[in-house]
Amino acid sequence: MAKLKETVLDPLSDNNPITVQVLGICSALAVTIKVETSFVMSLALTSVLICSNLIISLLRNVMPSKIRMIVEMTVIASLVILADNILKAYMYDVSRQLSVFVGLIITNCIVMGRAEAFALQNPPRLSLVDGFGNGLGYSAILIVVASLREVIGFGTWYNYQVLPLAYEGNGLVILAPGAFIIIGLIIWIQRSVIHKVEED
Amino acid sequence: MKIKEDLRTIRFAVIICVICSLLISTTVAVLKQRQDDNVELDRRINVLKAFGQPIVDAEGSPLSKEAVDLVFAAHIEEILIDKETGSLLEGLTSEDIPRNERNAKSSKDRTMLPLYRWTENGEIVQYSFPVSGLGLWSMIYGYLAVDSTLTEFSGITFYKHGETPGMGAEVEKAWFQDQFKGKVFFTAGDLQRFEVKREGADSDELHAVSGISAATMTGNGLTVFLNRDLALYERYFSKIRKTKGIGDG
Amino acid sequence: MELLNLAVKTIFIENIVLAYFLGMCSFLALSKKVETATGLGMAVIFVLGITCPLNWGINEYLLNDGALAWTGNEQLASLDLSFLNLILFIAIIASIVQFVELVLDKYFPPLYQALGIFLPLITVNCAILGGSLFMVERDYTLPQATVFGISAGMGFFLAIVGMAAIRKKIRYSNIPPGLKGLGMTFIITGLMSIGFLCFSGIKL
Repeated sequence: MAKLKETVLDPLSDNNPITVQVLGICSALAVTIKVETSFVMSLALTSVLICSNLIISLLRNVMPSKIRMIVEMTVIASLVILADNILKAYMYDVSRQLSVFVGLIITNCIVMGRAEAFALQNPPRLSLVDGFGNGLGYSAILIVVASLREVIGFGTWYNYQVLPLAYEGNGLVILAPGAFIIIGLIIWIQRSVIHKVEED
Repeated sequence: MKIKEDLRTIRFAVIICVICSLLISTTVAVLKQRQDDNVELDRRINVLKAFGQPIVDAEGSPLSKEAVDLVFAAHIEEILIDKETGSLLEGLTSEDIPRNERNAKSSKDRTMLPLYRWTENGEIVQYSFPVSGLGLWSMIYGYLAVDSTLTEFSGITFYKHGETPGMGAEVEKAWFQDQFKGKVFFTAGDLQRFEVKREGADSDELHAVSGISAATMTGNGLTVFLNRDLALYERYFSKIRKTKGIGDG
Repeated sequence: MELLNLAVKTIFIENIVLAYFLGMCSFLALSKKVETATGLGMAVIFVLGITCPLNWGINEYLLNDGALAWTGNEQLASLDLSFLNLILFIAIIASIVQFVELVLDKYFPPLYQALGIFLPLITVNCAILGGSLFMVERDYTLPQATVFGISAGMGFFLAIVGMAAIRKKIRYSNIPPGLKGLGMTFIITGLMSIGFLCFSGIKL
């Protein structure tokens, strides 16, 4: 039980996929302009991650090592296509805003990374929980970044006006540089709190 | 031993492939109808928007599919125009558009141009047609509506694009689209070049609207493809003007 | 001329790393040394330059709605397989990477030595898959797709080599402990990205 709890909580802060493991950065930056899109993206990624971890963990003993990578790729790609199609059918508006980035979950290193680093060595139940934990860790950062960018950039949060209408919006945080700098600062704060120092 | 190992690998690969492909094709097959419905509803709503019609009901929630279909049946006629000659393709409906043109990304890839007519009591009040082209870094898709005299814009809407939020993406905002209303594209017997200015066009300028600050490239893109698509439809419009005796043409 | 514009646009104005955030993982992980950055940059140019036109062909003649019309078979012609594009693109990329590795190893050993370990990493570099997806999204023609692929790679090269050079310079700077490494890299990337924003004023 303790192990389960640790597997969920660890990726939330001490071993966060984005700020500590440095995985899955691309999408974290690209979809965080609005909270709504980040939320859906987190949901899509977490589901794909849980399923892929589970499936790969189930297959881990029968999978021939020679074609390990390509099998993982196939499983992940199929799951992503599933997610993409479900989004298109049931959340059409959001899926349009996410455009190619749902597809890019395939090359999102979190999914591949967790499959390689965790699911291949651990039983299905634990892998599933690991997928969930990492998904949560990813979502947490995404939502924080998106909240900052949306509030500063547009004066809204989840499309609700939170700052006075007179607030003009800051263009820089909406553009690429803003995303980079915000993530940089979040990493700084988070690493200062957990006392992790990287030696260059 | 070696061969046995290889066989096992191949068998495994085949099984995975079959399972995955079955899974994907089933989902796609099951969800296809729903997705197509979404796309179609979205298209119809955007046509309505270009015509300046409300797209939310009295309570402010988006129109249902049935409501949209009802308005379409009552007021909107869909016709097709031959791109080369500009003549009306009698008796053809959107069902007759060749397969490879259904999802055409711009008028460049079409041989038949779709046109929507808004009728009130049998009178044509407005026309609307799809416009699309490259903005700064994505295709921008929209519908442009013109009035029955075929000289003024009566509305425009952009519904799909990948421009920078807060900058190029302002094309989807009301303040930008509202500027187009009443701008003139045809005077003195000629099609006029229409321009999205860099920034700050006077509101009384007849053939220009003010662009979005910090999104000059998006504006330039609009200028190019709006003029291109207008020129294509002009081949048909000039015929209508002649028969109706509108304008100097 | 139009192609040259596209190249300039893709390298500078819409830099694949600094404006689209693609290929960030390898950009961050492998920008510690200028030599490795150069190697990876070359490999990305190479692979993007091959996979973009190839995936263009796949999309145009196999996957798109009505793309199978060339077979002359009515039923095949009415197929729309575009939902398969993700899986096919990634498969193509993976096999091309493998193939390029084999060919280089056999015929151009020095180049293989130089690119060697970076090639396998490229399969999961989202810049490559992103390149193919953007190409489909923007409806490029074959020459455009080729130019786009190569110049997107050059954009990546430029960004990662620049980054590596900056990181080398700041190695002994006094940076707050929590900001060291990843945090600082992000902030520098942000500043580089601001720099590249200036290119968007260029009128093509």
